[in-house]
Amino acid sequence: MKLSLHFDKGTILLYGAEEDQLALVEDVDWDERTQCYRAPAADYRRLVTTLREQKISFQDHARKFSVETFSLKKKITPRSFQQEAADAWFTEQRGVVALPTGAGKTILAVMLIAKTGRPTLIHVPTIDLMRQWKEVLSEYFDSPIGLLGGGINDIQPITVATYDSALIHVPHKGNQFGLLVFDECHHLPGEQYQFTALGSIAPFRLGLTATPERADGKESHLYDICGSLCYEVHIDELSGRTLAPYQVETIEVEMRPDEREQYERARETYTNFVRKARVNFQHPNGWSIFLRKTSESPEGREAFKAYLLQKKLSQASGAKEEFLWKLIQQHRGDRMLVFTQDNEMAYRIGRSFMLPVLTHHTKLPEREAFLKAFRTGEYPILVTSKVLNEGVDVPDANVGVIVSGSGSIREHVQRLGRILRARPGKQAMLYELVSGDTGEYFTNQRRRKHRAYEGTSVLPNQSGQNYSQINQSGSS
Amino acid sequence: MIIVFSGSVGDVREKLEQSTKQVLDAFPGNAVVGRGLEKLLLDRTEFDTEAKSELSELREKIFSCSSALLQGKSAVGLRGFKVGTEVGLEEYRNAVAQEIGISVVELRSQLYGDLPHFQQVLGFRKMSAEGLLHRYNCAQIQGLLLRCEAMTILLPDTGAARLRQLLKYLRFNKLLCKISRNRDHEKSLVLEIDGPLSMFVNTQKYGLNLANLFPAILHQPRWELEAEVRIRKNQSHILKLNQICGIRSHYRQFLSYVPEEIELLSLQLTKKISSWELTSSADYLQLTGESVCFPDYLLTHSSGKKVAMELFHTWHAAPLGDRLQQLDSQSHAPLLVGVNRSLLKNEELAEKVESSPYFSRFGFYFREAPTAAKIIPLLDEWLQNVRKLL
Repeated sequence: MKLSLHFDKGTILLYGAEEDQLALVEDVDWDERTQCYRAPAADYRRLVTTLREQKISFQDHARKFSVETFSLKKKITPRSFQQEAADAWFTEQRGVVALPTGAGKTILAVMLIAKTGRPTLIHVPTIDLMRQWKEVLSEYFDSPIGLLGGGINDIQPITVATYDSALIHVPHKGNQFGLLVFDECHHLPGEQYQFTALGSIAPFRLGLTATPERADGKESHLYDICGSLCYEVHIDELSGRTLAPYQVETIEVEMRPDEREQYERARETYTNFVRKARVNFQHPNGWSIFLRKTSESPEGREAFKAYLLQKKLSQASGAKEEFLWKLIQQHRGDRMLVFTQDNEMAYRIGRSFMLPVLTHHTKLPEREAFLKAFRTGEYPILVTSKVLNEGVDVPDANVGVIVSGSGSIREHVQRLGRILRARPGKQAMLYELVSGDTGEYFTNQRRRKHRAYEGTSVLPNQSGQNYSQINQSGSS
Repeated sequence: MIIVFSGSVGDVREKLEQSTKQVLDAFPGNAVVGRGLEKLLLDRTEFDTEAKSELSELREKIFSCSSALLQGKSAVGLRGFKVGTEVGLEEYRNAVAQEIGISVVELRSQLYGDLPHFQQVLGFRKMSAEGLLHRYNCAQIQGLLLRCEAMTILLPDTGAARLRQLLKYLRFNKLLCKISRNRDHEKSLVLEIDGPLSMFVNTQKYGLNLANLFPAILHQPRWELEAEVRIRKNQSHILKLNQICGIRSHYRQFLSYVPEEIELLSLQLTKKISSWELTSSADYLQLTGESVCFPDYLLTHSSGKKVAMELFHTWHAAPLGDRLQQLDSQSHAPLLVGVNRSLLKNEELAEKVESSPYFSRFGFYFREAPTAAKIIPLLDEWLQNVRKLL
C-alpha cells in the first residue's frame, strides 16, 4: 500500500508506511489507540520536506489548500524597518517580528500574505481586533475577507479569527490554511492557545507582537511553534519618527481624609488576619492559602472583605476622580483615553463624568460607534478598563490617564502604546495616578520595569510629595 | 437557594444576587461550597442579554452633549466652559442633564442601566435539592479532571450497549482510547482515555473533554476511575473514584432508543427472510487499524452465525474513510458497511468507496435508511464466503 497522509483532529495519520521509511522521519509514533502511525500536525512541513528529500512517494490527503494569488488594490511603500522585517521573515517564512504598537504590523502582514500566496488564517485576541483587521485587509485585498468568531463562521482564503474560535475549529480546519498569522503572539504559548499552532499543518507562520517576553518565560515555546524571533525594534528606537514623542508623568494622589480612615481600618483588619492566620505571601501558594483560610470562618470572611475594600480604595479613590476632572479640563482639545483596573471603576467614572465607557459588556454596534466617534473626534474622551489595552487602533489619542492598573509590565507598555501613533506635531502624554502611601506604590514600581519607562518619572517614596517631577522620555 | 432562584423570574440580576447573598451569609458551612451551589444555579438561569436600543439612543444623546461641552462647542451656553477656564463638575453635570431634559440623578442611574446587574431574569430550569447536590459533587470531580492529561476507567461488567453509549460520548468529546482486557478479570475492560495530541505533548488540553465525559461514565453500573491530577504548582495527585461515590449523572441515557427506520428494517427482514434477526445491542469487533469498532446493529442467523452492520451518515465522512482503510487491509471481518448516498458528494471519499475491495463485497448504499432489498444479497454472500464468524 502506498504511503498516504491524512489530517485527523490536529494530527497527521500515516497509512501504508514502511518501517524503513519511518526511520527517516522524526516525530512519527505508533498510536496504540488507533493502530496507525501519527505525527503532530505542526510537523507537516518537516515531514513532507523529508519525504520529498528522501524521494519517498506519498499521497497527501492531509493538505486542503493550494497556492493562491492575492492581488493588492493599493500599492504599499514600506518603511525601511518594515522592509527589513519582511526580508528577515521571508528567509524561513516562519518567525516572530517584534514591533511597537503603531509601527505598522498589520501592513507588514498584508505584504507577507500577498507574497506568500497561501490561504491565511489570522489570529487575534479580541473581537474588536478581528473587525479592525478585516477593515484593513479589505482595503488592500480584492478577495473577500472571512471571519471566525463572535458568532460568525465565514471561512475565506483570507480569514481573521479570534484565538478562542480558532482553538475550537483547529481540529477540523487545521489543514485548510498554509499561512498562520498570530497577532499579539505573546498569547500563543498559553496552555490552550498553543494548540491553535500545534494542531495546524500550516507550513508558514508569522508571529507579531510588541513584547514577546512573557512573565512565565514561555517565549522560547513561542519560538518553537511559530519560528524564532527574526526581527525586533523597540519603542524608544522609533519614538519621534514612526512613533510620537512621549512623556510619562506619575502623580501621587492623596486620599480624602474619610477614605484614608476607611483604608487604614480595612488594612488593619486584613493585615491582622494575615498575621494571626500565619499566611506567608512569600510562599508560592501564599495567595491560595489566604483565600482558603478566609473562607473558613466569619472572621476570615471579614478579613477578605477588608482586603477587597482597601484595594478598591487605593485603586479607585474619590480623590483620583477629582484629580481626573482636573486633567480633563487641562486637556480640553486633546483626545484622551482613561484606563482603569476594573469595570466598576470605569463605569463609576463614566457615570460621574457622563462619558462613554468601553468594556467587554459594551455590545458590538455600540463599541463600533464609540470607537468611530472617538476616531473622528466627536467624542474626545473614552473610558476603558482592559479592552483597549491591545491592538485596537485609536490613532488620534494623545493623552492617556491610568487611573488604576495591575502590576503587569506588558499591560503598562501596551497602554502607553495606545497613544503613540505618530501625527505631525503630536506630543503624547501618559499620566499614572497612584494613591499615596498605599500598596499601589509597589504595583506601580513592578509595572514600570521596561525600557520604555527608563528615564521617566518615578515616585520618590511612599510618603513623598504629592506631585512627582516630570521627566521626558522618548522625545526626538 | 432553589426557592430564591425559582422566584426570581422577572427580577433583575442585582436583586437575585442580593437575595442569594442573604442565604449565603447565613450558610453555616464553607463559603466556597455556597458559592459553588450558587454558580450551578446561575448556569440554569437565563438572563435578558439583548441590547436595549432606547438606552443606546439615550447614551448617544448624552455623549454628544457632554463631548460638545468638554470641547467648548456646546450650544448649551455654559459660559465658563472654554478651553483654559475651570468649571465645576456639578455645573457641568447640570448642563448635560438640562440639555437632555432629565435630572442629574436620573441621568446617572439610567446611563448604564443595561449592564449585567440590571438584566432581567427570563427563566430558571428548576431542579430538586438532591439533584443540585449530585450536580455539585459531579462538578467537584469535573473540576479535578480539568487538571488531568488522561484518565483510566475500569469497567468490570459493562454491557455492549452501555459501552457503546460511553464511546459515543467519547467520540463526541473528541477523545481517543485504548481498550484492553483486564489481566486478572477477563470480563473487565480497561479504557485508557486521552486526546489525539497526548502522545506528543504532556498537556491538560483535553482536561475539559475528560471533564465533559465524566457524567457519561456515571451511567455505567460499575466503574473505577483513576487519573493523575496536577494542581498547585504542578504537584501530582492521584484521583481514584468508583460507583460507590453514588453520584448521579445529569446526562441523558439513550440506551433503549431505537430509530424508527431501524424498526421498519427489522420488520422487513422478518417478513422477507425469517432466518435473520436484527438487534441494536451489537457487540464490539476487534479490527486491525483500530482497537475496536462499535457497529450499530447485529444480524443473527438462525444457525447462530452473526454479522454486524455499521452505518455511515452524512456527518461520518472521516470515520468512513478510516474504516475502509482498516477493512481493506484485512480479509475477514464480520461487518457490513452501509453508506448514506449524501457522502458521495465528497469526490475524494466517493472514489475511496468505489475503489474499496471490501466495500464492493460487503458494502451497500442507502438514502434515508437501509432496506432489506440491499441487505439480503450481502447476507447471502457473507454466509457463503466467510468461514470464520464471531
